[in-house]
Amino acid sequence: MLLSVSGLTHRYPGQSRNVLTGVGFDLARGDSVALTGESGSGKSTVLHFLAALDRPDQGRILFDGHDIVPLADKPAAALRRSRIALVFQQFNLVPALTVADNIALHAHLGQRFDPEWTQTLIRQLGLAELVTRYPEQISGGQQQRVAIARALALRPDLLLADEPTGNLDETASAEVLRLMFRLVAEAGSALFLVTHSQNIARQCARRLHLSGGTIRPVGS
Amino acid sequence: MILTLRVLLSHWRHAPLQLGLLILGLALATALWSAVQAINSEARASYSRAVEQLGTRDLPSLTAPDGDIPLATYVALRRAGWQVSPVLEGVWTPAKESLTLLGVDVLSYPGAALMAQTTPATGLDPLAVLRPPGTLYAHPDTLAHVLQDTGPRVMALQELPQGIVLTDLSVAERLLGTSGRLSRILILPDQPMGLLPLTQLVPELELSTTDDGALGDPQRLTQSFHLNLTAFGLLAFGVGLFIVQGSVTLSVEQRRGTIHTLRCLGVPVATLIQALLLELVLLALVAGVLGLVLGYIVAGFLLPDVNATLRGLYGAPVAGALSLRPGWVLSGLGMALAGTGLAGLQALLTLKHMATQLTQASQAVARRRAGLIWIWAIVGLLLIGLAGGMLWGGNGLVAGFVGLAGLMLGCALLLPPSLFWALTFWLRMTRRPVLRWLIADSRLQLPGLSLSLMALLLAIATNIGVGTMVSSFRLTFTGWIDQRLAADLYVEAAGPQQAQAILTWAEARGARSLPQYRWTTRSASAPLLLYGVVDDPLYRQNWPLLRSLPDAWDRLHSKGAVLINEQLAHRADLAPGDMLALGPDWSARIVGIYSDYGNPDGQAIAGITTLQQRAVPLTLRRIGLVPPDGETPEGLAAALRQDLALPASAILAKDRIRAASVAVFDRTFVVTAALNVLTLGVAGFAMLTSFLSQWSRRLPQLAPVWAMGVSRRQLAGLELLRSLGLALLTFVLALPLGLGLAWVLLTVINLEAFGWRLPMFLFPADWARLLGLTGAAAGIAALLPILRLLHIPPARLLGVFSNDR
Ligand SMILES: Nc1ncnc2c1ncn2[C@@H]1O[C@H](COP(=O)(O)OP(=O)(O)OP(=O)(O)O)[C@@H](O)[C@H]1O
Ligand SMILES: [Mg+2]
Repeated sequence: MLLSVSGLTHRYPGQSRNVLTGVGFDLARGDSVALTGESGSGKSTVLHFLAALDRPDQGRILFDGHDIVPLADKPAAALRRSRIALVFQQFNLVPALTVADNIALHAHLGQRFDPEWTQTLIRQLGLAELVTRYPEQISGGQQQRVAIARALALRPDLLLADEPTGNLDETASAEVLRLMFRLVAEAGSALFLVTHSQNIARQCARRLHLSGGTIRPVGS
Repeated sequence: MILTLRVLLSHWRHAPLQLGLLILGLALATALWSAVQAINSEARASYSRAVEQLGTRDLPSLTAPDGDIPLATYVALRRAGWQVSPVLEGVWTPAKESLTLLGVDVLSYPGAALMAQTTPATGLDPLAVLRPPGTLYAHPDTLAHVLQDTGPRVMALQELPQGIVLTDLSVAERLLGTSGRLSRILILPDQPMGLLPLTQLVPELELSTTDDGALGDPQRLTQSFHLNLTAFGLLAFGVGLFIVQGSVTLSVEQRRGTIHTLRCLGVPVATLIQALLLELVLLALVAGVLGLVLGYIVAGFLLPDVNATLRGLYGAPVAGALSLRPGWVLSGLGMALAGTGLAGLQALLTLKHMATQLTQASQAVARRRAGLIWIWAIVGLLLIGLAGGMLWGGNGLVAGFVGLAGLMLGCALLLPPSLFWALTFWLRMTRRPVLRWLIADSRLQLPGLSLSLMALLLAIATNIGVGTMVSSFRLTFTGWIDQRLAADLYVEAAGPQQAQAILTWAEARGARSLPQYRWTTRSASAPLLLYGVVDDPLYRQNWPLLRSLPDAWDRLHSKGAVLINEQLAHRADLAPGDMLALGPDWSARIVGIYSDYGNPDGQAIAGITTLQQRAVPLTLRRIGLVPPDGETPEGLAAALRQDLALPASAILAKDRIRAASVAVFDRTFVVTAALNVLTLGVAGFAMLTSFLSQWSRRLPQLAPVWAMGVSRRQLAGLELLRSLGLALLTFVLALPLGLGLAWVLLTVINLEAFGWRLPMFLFPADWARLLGLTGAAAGIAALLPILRLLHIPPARLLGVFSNDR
């Protein structure tokens, strides 16, 4: 099992209620999971914990059999650098770098840069003409596609995406999803996707729903 | 309006540190500026006190081109009906210290009323001044140098500047050993009608104001020193303004949300701008008052050293105490207000821009500004060109300083483009991802940092420039003093008889003696000190000649020729081969020019036989001695003390004098060094504030990189690297500028100010020390943001990726 989560409980300082109360689920290589839930239910919070960007009050997150919750900043950073890629809801890009540099950055950092694969991504995501521009010079949807290209370019073991298609039209989101599933199938990655869209959620292998601080499976 | 102001001001409650830095920066700038102003006005007041209170200010006077005016000329003027008053001026050395003796006619001298005022308190009637043995007036501190037991009565007169002794003409004639000669004739304000014009009566005399008399001399001589201080003060003020500029602009950017909301609530742009202006005025007043207090304290600390410099370098009379002048307070506050206005200009523009275009991304603005960077380069190059022309073509002290200012400002303007292009080039060269990000990110940050980096550049360049000048001067000075102190021992004689006794004793002992006969005279209406020397091989070997004709020493001793010092040569535009006027019927051929540091006055050397033939009034106080073969200087000194019963303090070994002179020299430049360090400190402070002000804009830059697996510690290291790297690059660019500055100071400014040109030496060890200091300043400036970065909660960084950015 690539990822095994159990008993995640968390309360933000100053809040009266727990955001999460004992969240648990598993995620294997080649698997794809969609997480749905109301706005403010805690989806992004779960995602941040999975990437070791922040720490839950309680619970265990086993990544390849090792608990990443107690990790210090440095090993956590090393883990993200080479094995976990993230796509956030917005503001993903480094303002100082061009689109091309942004796309290559994470793969370079993880020392897994593959020029051919990167070129494929740029072409398929329709970014070829934007590579010399800076983030503030392209639209929100284009920025989102750059962020996805950057995450895919790393070929991570775990791909975490927070509403990656929120700003995209239907053709573009279909293309994004196709590329993500291709990565899962070819590289044996695992995909954890937060979305509001039932249509997108249905395309993933499994669906989870977050509500009242706990997660339960949807459908079958 | 008031409501808007209150909303705007409420921002500071959440940013007390920033407010503190802003006020401190402005206060520091004002403090340094007003400290320099206080010192300057204090010294100027000292100089003019005499002229003003003695009532001779702005009185025209007559002087003779070759020095002295015969008494008969004065009598002729009186006979013709002119209301005039005679003045005799000379150097008088009653004890250790040389004083300026002013002999005046008590009945006609405009300042006589002041002398009379003090008399009744001491129980003497005014006419007692005239009766033998006469009365000397001097500042109480100066009186200590006047021997109380010999000659005339002495009396304290608070209003006199230090170093000046005022007395009746006849007493002065007696003390100076002259008769029938005057230095100046003052022309009194009220003249009867129908007089013959002066040009007809005394065509040989020149008409001028009292400025070139003993009381006016310091003003002329020290002008350069004060200009120097003012330049330093202005520089520090400018550097301080960079701090204010950074903080104020930042505070506007931080209030983007507030401004947005106020605009949506219907507040017009004009009101916002007025409110910001009002805020700036408030800040300026608070900081200005604080700065004045600080400035007063700094001035109090520096004043003794400045006075030491003025006395040591120029012999200028300055009083010791600092007094509070209303003009000074007003000008300090005015500078604070004007400076804040200037520094706030960008903030006002930002506000206007922000209020009208609320949707613009700040990165787009930064990138557009970076795109316009070549304009800086062009303006910078233009300024440097202009400055070059000014230094090349212009002459005079002011042209030199203006040229310098242009050079420095031009180079400062070139800094941001140079850094930008260097970073762009480097970005092309490197492949390492983190480094590429760091470079690209630094380039984007450059517009926000460039002002503080410019401040740093100026501070480093000034440090190198002034440091090189002082160290070159010191090296030259110590080398020169070794040459000048040719003998091993120097004996100070108490009077003519003792001097003669020492000479006789030395001859009997087989020691060579180098007596320094002196004659104080005037040439071309400026004081001239003429030394008479004996023909000793030591002079030929050691004396520091800059330029000379062949056989200079032979011609000096056999043909009545003279050597003159560099400042006299520069001032009177004299070269070897020219003639030097020494009296009405006496001019001597100049056969050489020697370097002479440490005094601004004209000096000349003649053979003692020449002077004796002319029967000029010589004094002899100092005699150099060289022991005969086989005897040590210590032995000779001991024997001399014993045989002639001289006090120990009268005999000085060469090394002692050398050490004392070097100590005086070092003391002279204490102020310069202090201002140097202060300027660098202020520049470091400017860097700190600009790093802090960038900080709020940094999070969106850092968060994505952090999310991709660059740890916070690594990011902190990179921030430090960036700060150090930029400081290093700035240093590299500042080094040539600093050396250029030193060159201009040594060859242009020094020549104009003192009349001597100095060779330039390089001091790489000093540069290394300065580089260390710069690195430390940059490191400390980056420390606060780094500490914040190390301890920032992940939630803050994650906040970047949610809506509430
Ligand atoms: N740093 C924080 N401090 C305090 N409360 C927070 C913080 N971040 C999130 N919250 C709160 O925790 C809850 C969960 O937030 P989270 O961002 O995980 O929701 P979400 O499910 O991703 O919502 P959305 O679909 O709108 O993105 C919300 O009520 C939010 O207000
Ligand atoms: Mg969310």
